[in-house]
Order: sequence, then C-alpha cells, then structure tokens
Amino acid sequence: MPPGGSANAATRTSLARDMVGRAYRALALLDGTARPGAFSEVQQKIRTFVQENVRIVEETSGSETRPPTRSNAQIFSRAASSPRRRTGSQRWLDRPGTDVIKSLFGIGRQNHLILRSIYDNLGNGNVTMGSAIDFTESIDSLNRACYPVEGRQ
Amino acid sequence: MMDGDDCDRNAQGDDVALEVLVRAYHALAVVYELSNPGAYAVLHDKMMPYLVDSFCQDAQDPAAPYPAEMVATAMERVRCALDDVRSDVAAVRDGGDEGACKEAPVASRRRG
Repeated sequence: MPPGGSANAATRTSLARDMVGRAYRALALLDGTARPGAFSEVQQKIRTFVQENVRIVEETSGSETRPPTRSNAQIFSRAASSPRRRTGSQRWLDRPGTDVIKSLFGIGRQNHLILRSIYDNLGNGNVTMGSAIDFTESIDSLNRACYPVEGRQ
Repeated sequence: MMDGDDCDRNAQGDDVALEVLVRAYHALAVVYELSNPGAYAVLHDKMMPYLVDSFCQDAQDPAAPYPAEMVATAMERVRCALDDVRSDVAAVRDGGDEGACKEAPVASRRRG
C-alpha cells in the first residue's frame, strides 16, 4: 500500500460513517414526525441493538476486531428478553464501541464540547456498560437539541 | 503522527463503526417501512441526493477538509450499503404481505 494509503482508507470510511449517520438522523426525524410519541420505543430498540453490537465488538477486540455478525432479528429478539447488562467497573468510554455510539447519535468532531459535557456529567468517564444506556439517552436529548431540523434541509 | 499499525487499527475500528451504523439504519428503515408501507422506498430515492447535497457541495470548496475524490469514493460505498437496505426492506414488506415469518433479513452483504 502506498504511503498514506491506510490513512486515506480510514478517512474514506470515516466519511462514509458520517454520511450514514446523517442519513440515520434524517430517517429518525421522519419516523418521529410520522408517528409522534412512538419514536422513544424505537430508539430503545436501536439503543439495545447498538449496545449488543458494542458488546460483541468488545468481546472480540482482545484478539481481533471484526464486524458483528448477528442479524437484526436476533438482536431485537434478545433485546426483548434481556435485562440491562452490567459487566462491572470498566472504562466503557475508552472502549472501541464508543465511536459507534458517537457516530450513531451524531456526535462528530464539531461536537466535541458537547461530548465533553456528557463525559463530565457521567463522572469523569468512569462508566459501566449498564450506564451506557444513560449515556446514550443523554446523547439522544442533546442530539435532538443540536439537530432539530437537520433532516428537513 | 500515526504509524502504520495505528492507521490499520483506526481503519478497522471505523469499519466496525460503519457496519454497526448501517445495521442501525437498516433496523430503523424496517421499522419505518412497516409502520408506513411504501414510505421507505420513497425516502430511499431522496436520501442519496440529500447526502450529495450535504457532502459534495463541501467537497467542491477548496478549503474543504476532504478532497472531492475521497468524498465520491465514500459516497459510493454508502450508496451500496443503502441499496442493500432498500432490498432488505422490500423483502420484509413483501414477507409481511404474505403473512410469512417476520424475521428481518441481514443487511450485511459486505462490499469490498
């Protein structure tokens, strides 16, 4: 690979991630507009889905980082029957999946100050897996405040 | 400056993030379609133009952080991912119409 090739590939992937993130926000806005009040339930399913994916990433990150392989149906089925998972004290925010959450809920480079405030509110970044739900809920509310009309552009 | 290993790790992490995000988008698309039959198909046709407007205009700015070629490559990757989602959402809708099992298909036909 030529010099800088890996960096360029990472940048392209990061760009693609930003694009899908924007598409997600637009779709979320439309869904929330079409069915007022129903989106919170959908968000809960999506959050659980993402956290399951994050957990899979964590479990595999020690040996190999690879994409998750479960289907949405499997994840949603598990989400319906599983209680909140708490895996003990760990610096969850340092884990690889944090970038996933940040991307999903639109916390990008330009929003690092917002992210910083979330970190502070959650106790200097010492967050357990279980409180990741609260973390994403905080991002939800901030995201709604930051991007109230973005999908309508 | 990052060395090659760091770049590779970041690239892998970004790949995972993109994959998960696409799956989240897919899940939301299924929910949206099931609650509003036909709605996602209409939205899909508007989504790429929306993204093009959002990103490609910036790429044409000489002061933009990313070269236009890089944006175009990323855009093509997203287009492939969203096309997969469209196909899967259509399959879910058709399956629902036939009263078949509601298991959502996997939006994970990975592109190189």
